[in-house]
Amino acid sequence: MDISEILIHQLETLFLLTPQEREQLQGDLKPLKEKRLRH
Amino acid sequence: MYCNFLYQLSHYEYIRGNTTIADKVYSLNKMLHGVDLFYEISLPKHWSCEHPVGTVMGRAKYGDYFFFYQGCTVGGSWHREKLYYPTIGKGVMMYSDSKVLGNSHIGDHVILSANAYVINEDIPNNCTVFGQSPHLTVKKRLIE
Repeated sequence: MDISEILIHQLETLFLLTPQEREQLQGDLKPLKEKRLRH
Repeated sequence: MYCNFLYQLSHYEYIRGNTTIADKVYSLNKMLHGVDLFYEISLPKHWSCEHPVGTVMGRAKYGDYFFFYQGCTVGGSWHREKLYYPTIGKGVMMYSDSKVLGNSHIGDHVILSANAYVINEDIPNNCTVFGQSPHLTVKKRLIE
């Protein structure tokens, strides 16, 4: 599970994302899948 | 740093007009970190924070390399029926519970010590600020 999936999961759990919002976020966070986010 | 990332994402979504997503990401940041970094404010390109619980960053002009700790506040203040916002220079550090409000101009490389309260004051570059307005103690630092 990468950072974008964790974020979407958190938002869905807490704020009930609509399918459009989920799709939008997935598209916006796509570049992160190639880059690893360091702590 | 997840707090930084969530602010950047909410600001990005706001700029693109997706305010509902921006709102949700902003709220998530507030819930997880206890920090209020509203998506409409423009934090500089490079900024960071350490355990920022209770910090509220409001509208202001922020210089690059900004750093803050817990309990800090930056925001506007009314003066003669007009709302003024602070200007913060480059490389400013805000230690815990320090506040910058109203028509304040903070110079470059200024350190605001713990509990410093600055309102409607001009602070020159390379200084350390202690105490509360209008009785601030401003000490010049020698930069090598």
